[in-house]
Amino acid sequence: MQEYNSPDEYIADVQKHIRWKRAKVVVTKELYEHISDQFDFFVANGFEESEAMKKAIQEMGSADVVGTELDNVHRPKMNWLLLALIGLLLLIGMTISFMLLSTTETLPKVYGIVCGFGVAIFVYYVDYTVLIRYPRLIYFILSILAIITSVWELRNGFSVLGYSYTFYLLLCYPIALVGILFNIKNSGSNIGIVLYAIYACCPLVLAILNKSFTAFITILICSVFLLIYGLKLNWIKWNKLNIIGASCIVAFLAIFVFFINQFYGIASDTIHIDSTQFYQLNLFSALGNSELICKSSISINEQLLGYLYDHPISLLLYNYGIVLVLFLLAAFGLLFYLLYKTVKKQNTEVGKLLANMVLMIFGIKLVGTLMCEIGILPDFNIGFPFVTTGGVFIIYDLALIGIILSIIRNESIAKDWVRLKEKRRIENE
Amino acid sequence: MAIDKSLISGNTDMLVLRLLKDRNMYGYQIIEELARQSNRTFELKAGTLYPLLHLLEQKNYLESYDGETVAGKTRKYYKITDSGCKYLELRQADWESYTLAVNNVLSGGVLLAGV
Repeated sequence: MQEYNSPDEYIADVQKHIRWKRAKVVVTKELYEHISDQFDFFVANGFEESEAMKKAIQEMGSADVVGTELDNVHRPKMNWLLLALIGLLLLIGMTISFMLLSTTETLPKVYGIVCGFGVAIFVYYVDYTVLIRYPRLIYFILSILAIITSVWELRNGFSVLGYSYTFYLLLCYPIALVGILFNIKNSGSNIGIVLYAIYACCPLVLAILNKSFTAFITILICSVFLLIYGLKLNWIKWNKLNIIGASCIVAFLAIFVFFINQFYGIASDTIHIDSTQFYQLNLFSALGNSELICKSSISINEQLLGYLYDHPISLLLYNYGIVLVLFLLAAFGLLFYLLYKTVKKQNTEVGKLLANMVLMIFGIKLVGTLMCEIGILPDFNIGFPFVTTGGVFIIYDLALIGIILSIIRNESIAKDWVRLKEKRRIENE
Repeated sequence: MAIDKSLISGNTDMLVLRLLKDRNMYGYQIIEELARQSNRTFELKAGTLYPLLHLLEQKNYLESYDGETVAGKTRKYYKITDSGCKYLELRQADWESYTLAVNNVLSGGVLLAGV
């Protein structure tokens, strides 16, 4: 066996065999510590320091074998089934678009898929611990962008039904709030619940001002989930005074929105359930008149044909029959199962919370669309993820999948990686 | 005592899990404790132990956390999980059946003679 004089030489040789760059530092840290313990033992037993070091390294075993073994254990992981499922859903979505919509309407979807995969690949390779290292910076950049687009869209009238670029920025808040929750935890602030109320309410107000019911519901559900999670683990500190403070902030923002609405009429139709947006002949009608695998012979409300994104099930039932819809629902069932499994497998809080957020966002989209079809929600403006959504939404959906794949990729080193980054953050502070 | 390594290699995970069932330990401690309890029969190399610990952690049989040693140093401690305990029970049951079968053969079937 090769003789080493310092742990660095030995570790460098071990690292040569570990192909995953990110794993090199993380997984060899313990080897350093082990050599140090072994060295202490030999010194305590009367060995000279240089001799003790050589012996301690020798005890470790061959660097080639150790490196190869660690390389086998620590590889970037990929969930191919999830990727294949997303590909299948996109393919079904594209086929439906080509058959039911015009080329002009379908083209943005094609661009969306191309850009979406670019964004997903970018997110996949980005170290997601940036979210807990620079949470406030990310939150403020997002807020500035959302405010700029919001003001621009309000002045130029592009905020109809919340379908705007602000809308997509608002949907990024659940992810940013995960970082904020960690920031509150790490700061150990005694007014944690007040801080959280401020951070969570700002995007909610923006959602109301932008008349985005979908963004409002999504942020509300996700932020309440994060609040409960934070309270349960005692990350968010609170007392009676803080609760009153947080309630005052919520009340103040509600009054602010009310007055803005009164004087400027910005939020005049916010969360307004317009009965004309309901389609009385919807899901149940389509279900009753559907064939198994072909177009229904009985005509249903033709108005539905223009609403592929908002009433996908009715439309798909009418055009393709029950089998396709059942197949799609089964595919979504599998998607949620895979996302749930990812949540359960995470051994870091940040991984778990991020995966939870993605699961919840997709869940809200699916449930919202179903409720919209049944008629108990107004137009949700979302449609089925990947299948019946527009180009920009596909980019957003694929970015979320990028997050999930990044979490899965780092699974084997996530705990140590997050720990290392946390340590560096504390040292920098 | 020198022993054929192939006798140990397939069962190292069981031995490590059993040690961690008693108390949480870090890598160096595990090697020391294994050597002590086996009367120096099992002297694991660190290079064998760490990949194994990482693998068991990936399978959710172990959990790790940063803890402080008596000397005040920070070390990565390992703790057995519930699924690790269940896996250990299975492995122990397998091991008992296996050793019984081997002993039967080695004793020329004497152990089964009364059956």
